[in-house]
Amino acid sequence: MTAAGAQPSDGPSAGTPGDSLVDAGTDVSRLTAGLRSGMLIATLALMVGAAAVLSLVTHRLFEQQLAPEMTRQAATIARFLAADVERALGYGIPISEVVGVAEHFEKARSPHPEMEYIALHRADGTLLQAAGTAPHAGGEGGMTSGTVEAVRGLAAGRPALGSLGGDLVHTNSHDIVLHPVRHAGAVAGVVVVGIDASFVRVQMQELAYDVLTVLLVAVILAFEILALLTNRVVSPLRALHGLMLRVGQGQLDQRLPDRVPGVAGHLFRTVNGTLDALRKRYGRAAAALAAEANGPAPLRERMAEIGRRFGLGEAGADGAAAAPRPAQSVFDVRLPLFLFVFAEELQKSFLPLYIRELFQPVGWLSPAVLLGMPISVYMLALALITPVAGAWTDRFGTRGVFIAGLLPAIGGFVGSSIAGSLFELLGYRALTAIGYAMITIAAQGYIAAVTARQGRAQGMSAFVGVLMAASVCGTAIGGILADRLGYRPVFLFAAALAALAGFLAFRMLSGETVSGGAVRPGARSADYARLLGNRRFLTLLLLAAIPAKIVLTGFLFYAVPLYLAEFGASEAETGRVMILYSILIIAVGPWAGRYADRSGRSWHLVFAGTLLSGVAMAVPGFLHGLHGVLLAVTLLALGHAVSISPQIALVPEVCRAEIDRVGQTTVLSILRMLERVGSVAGPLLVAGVIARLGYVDGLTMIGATVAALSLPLLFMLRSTFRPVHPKTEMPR
Amino acid sequence: MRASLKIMTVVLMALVFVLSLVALLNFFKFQSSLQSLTERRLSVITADVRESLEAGLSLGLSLKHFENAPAILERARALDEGIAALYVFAADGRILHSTDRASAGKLVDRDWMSAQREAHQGLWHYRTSGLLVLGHRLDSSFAAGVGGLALVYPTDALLARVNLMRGDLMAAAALTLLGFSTLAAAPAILASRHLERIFAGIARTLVDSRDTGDGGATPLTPPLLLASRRFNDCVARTHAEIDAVEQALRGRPGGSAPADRPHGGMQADRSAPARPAWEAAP
Repeated sequence: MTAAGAQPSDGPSAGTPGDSLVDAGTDVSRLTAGLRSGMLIATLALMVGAAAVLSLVTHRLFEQQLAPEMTRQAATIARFLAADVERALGYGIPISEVVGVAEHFEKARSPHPEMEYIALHRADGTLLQAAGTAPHAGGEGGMTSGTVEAVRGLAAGRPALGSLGGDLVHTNSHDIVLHPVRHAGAVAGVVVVGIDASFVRVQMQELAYDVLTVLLVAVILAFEILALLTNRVVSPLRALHGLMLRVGQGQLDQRLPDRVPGVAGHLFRTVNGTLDALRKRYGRAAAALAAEANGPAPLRERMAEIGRRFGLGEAGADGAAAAPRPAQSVFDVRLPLFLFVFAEELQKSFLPLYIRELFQPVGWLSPAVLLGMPISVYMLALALITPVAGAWTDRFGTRGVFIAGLLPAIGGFVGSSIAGSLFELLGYRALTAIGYAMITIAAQGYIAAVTARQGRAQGMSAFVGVLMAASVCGTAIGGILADRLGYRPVFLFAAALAALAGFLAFRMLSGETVSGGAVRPGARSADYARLLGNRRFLTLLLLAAIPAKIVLTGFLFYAVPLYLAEFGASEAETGRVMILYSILIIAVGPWAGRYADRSGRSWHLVFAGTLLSGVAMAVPGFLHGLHGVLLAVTLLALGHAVSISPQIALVPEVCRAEIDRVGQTTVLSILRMLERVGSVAGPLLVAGVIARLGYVDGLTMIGATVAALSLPLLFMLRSTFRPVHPKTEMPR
Repeated sequence: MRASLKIMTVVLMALVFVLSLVALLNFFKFQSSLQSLTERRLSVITADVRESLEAGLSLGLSLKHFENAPAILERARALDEGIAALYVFAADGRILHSTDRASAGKLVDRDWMSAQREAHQGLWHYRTSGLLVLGHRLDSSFAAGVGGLALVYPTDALLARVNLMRGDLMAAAALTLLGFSTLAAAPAILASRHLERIFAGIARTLVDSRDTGDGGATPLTPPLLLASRRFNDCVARTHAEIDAVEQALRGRPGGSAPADRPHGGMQADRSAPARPAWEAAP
């Protein structure tokens, strides 16, 4: 019920600009953003502080626990080396003339990074030979005075100052372990093993990248949760503000939620009471007027007009307006979607390695095809189920499809964790893909349903942002967990996360929301045929869109983990390399999109991006190992970042006639569907070529082909270039 | 749930996530460091035994008739009280010498033999629940792989230390969480109070006529203040219009219109809901 004929109030209070009411919405949004930023900074500070404190405490615990083990290690080595020297002395060689001691000691020391140096001293403390870096602190023979004193003490049969249990001595700079070299019943010399005091610190430093990764993921996670939280915390203020605006415009049929705690709740009840009383007063006055048999018609008419104007006519008998339904927003679906995609992305850094672990040759299938199949089958299932999932969303509602999608997804995760063969894994990954398609389509449908048309692009942009953020987090954490726990437990962890996402979706998504429809165009086979008959569309598809997907799934998802494993990189390192792709896409992609819109140079960017992604694949050919892959992934990400958005921006230009006929969204969805051919073919193609030519030559060859494919795009550029300012919709 | 509690919960979740993962990383690092240190220490012992045995083999002694072997094994075992046993076995896996006399003549575990076959540069290790076996293939200058050496080390003590570290790390993480949760209360309460002050400001603007003039006592921004005022204006105007109809009704002969009532939105209506004047009329 609205007061259609309501007149705005006579005007704002004196001296206040008329658009201040509009500003109030911005004001609440600013408050929300400010609150979120403040909380994010505070949370980040607390997380960094907590991680630092725990690391410091752990450092001390490590020192306490590892120091005795290092001492035992040093004592064992000192004992054996002393025996070796004793053997030489037994042959009558004087201790100062035994040759090759330093080399022998170095050979013994090198496998033990915690041994800083090993030295042979004469009984008087003189240093004879040493391996490693002994401290030079001005003592005799370049040794510290503490060491010399300890050696002399041991030779004289008395424990040195600071000696613990005879052999271990704390000198000023570090700990040393001593063992006497005996000959003819006397101490002829002493073997000294210096323990590296920084060993524990080095162990902790090796964790630094992992801890930083955890912090990065935690910040993204906290951002997602805080986005939801601040929205909910500020929602009473937003509701009150909305009500005040509507009442101010003469719509008195308003009511605020009753069950709100705290100061807000008290105020809500007061406001509701005021409006209820007004409605009640009107109702009774109108009833009293109507009760008068000979009541004046003009007054009755005037009263009815007041009721219509202020929306008072339809109040309940007690004067209460209907309680509002809880407002739905994009924030409802963000966290469940984030957690689910996070769960799915956990496998990315190690899936090819897991596939290889399960690999068993099958006579009629090439091993390369077999190794590439799980990723291809996943992509194929995703492509096939996506349109069907859209129809289900329309029919059963977004929450229903989201939660139903969890069944195949969780089944797929659990199955993947217990898969006994590659073929079982294929089936479970396909099951996961079905769940993924259902859940992401349901989430898009929810966003489309709860956003106004003008806010839909922003909503979809939030959707893409959640996917990218979850991809960064999942890939990074998945690598760390796989490195420590193994591959199978990570899938179980993914299943648990997906279940949590389902619980949140059940609690947070409205059961009444059906798909917004606008994001799900109905493409028919005739539309596909019409587009495939468009030469320029075909060029864009075959030379840019499909190669981009081949490089993404074939190189990044399939080849990078396997290639890095060849160089001994851990899963955590692989995960860190792979997230570089998403981070660069997030950072550079929007800029490229804006540039393409502004300059109309979309063909230039598509050409440059395709060329760059081809060059990226060839990088391992001349720069091997981790650094080569890092550079390749960086170039690939830059290539895709500059070319993906312009690909979409080109569609209105390339397919003008088709868009006039079937609409831009349908054309975009057909492009997205057809480019998945590249996603499916990528792993198989790359696996096949690598199996035949090896990593370096294989990747170089595919890269060169992709780069060569970009050249015909130049002709398109020459024939079509002119600055345009296309308005694009967010693709699915 | 109050806003401050909600914010606290989120910060706590973030802290739990970070601390549990950092603790997990630290735990696995400790486990791998301790394991590596132990294995390298034991490998020093096996390397020494291997060198002694291979020196004899290179002189032409047969492994089976190597009389010093038991003494070499016993000496090595004495170096570490944690070592359970050392074995020297022939190429077919039959135990020839051992610190565990009862095992002589028996076959070593089949898994040891396959580990030795796949060994890189002769060095191998095999882990099973509760046992770590470090081994080395034995070569002579006349033949490679004449037998093998195995050192068996129960990992109970290692596991105990790992478990101890797990407990310590969990306690440290819990204490850190406790400490930082307390710190997290401050921003949560501040944020919550900020919101409450805004609501209090709106309440005063809507309800208290003394504050509506300048709004100076409230933290309301001009747009919110204006929205509050418009709310009051509209409520007051509606009351006024109803009043006007009632007065017109009262002015009629025989009319039963109620008496005047004050109308100034919520400002004049502190004990809302307001009672229409005619309700009090006889």
